[in-house]
Amino acid sequence: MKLFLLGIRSLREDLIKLILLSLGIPALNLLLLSGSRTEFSETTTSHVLSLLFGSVHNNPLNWIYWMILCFGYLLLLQIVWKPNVQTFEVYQILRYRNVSLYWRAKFILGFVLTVFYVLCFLAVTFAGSLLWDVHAVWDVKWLAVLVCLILNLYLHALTWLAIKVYSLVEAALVLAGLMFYAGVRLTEPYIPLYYAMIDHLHPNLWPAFAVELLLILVAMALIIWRVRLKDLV
Amino acid sequence: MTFAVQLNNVRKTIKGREILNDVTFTINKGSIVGFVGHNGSGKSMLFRIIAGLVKPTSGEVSLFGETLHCTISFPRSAGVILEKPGFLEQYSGFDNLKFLADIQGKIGADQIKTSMRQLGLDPEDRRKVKTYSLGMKQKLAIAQAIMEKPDLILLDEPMNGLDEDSVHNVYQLIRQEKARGATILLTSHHKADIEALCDEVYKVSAGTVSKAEYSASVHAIQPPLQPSLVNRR
Repeated sequence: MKLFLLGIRSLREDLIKLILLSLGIPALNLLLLSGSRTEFSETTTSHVLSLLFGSVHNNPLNWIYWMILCFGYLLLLQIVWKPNVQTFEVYQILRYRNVSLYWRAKFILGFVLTVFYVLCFLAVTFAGSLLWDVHAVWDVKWLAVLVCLILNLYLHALTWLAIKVYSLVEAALVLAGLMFYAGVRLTEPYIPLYYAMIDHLHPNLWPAFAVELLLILVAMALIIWRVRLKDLV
Repeated sequence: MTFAVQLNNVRKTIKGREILNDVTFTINKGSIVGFVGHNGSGKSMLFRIIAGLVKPTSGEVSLFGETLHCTISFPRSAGVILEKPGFLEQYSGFDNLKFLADIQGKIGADQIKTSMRQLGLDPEDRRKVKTYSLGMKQKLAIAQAIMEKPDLILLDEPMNGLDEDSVHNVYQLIRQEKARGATILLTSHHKADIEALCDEVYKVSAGTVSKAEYSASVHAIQPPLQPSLVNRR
């Protein structure tokens, strides 16, 4: 907990950027959505959710909303996991006396801010859609989408980080971007937690969650294994 | 007898180039030991290996009887400054040190302030580190290395960028740390620093380390005069 709080403190100067990003991206998506439709009064908040995260067959433009969400997340990662001044990182690690601990604190910080980003996204979408006289309807799908988005984005983040520590940050950015793009261009995706996830939600999603969690743990282990082998300076 | 630092046949090669070659020496607890040598001779690499930041290709490093990368990953109690001071530029000097001190929680704000004042820095100065001069950053790096009263202090070119008065102040501080019982290893290109402080001197040359005859060796390793160093002679 203490290490996590220290991580939050290190982002103190970036807090405004993080908040603006987390609120601005869903606001931008809502504006685009409102521009593409003229009438919302007959719809519900669940319908808005389907428009944003449903199949491309229902709304041909919704891959754009997904890409904006992912782009915002990539920007968030640049802030949360920005490379520290190398010497300062050395000062920190000498005090942690454990490279794994230092990286685990980074992982936790990344996860918490992913939750924050997705929560902001859904909260702004829900609240913003009410401005168009959309009927507020609570749907358990909101919760399911929340969990799916968190797991999905965080897995992408760790993949990005793993590529970064094994090769170059530029390669990580290109590959993560390609993964997001490839994901949204699949019209019939097989991965239930991916793009068009609303149409793939079903009561028995646990195996998919388990696979994603396992992949997250594998990515973490690979990153820690690599950084422990590497010289620090 | 347990030595503060013990290196046995340490070698380090990077991309086929031998940086350190079969380095063996011991350093007693509570002594100040100087390492002299030309730029690129391997002094900084030697310090990084002793700090646990770089793993030797072969050989063994023991600190206070514990083997690095075997029983411990990093020194249990070490203060380090590297050639180039590095801090979070958007924070004040005190905030940087507080952030580092809070990782282990050994000392509070008062001790941090005392260390800063000892170096001639004002802990109440809210200016960001990015506005600091090189000398101020160097003083902050020294404060960072000594503030937690570590058993082992590694100072790589600690007098870089310091004016004459500050250099004498740092001499005083280093002697105080020795009196407290700390073991101090330092590098310097300045004969005066070595003569004023060190109980023993080692010469690092082309990756080998040998015990140097005190002043004769120091004279022998003096680099050519550089304009920026003339004032220090």
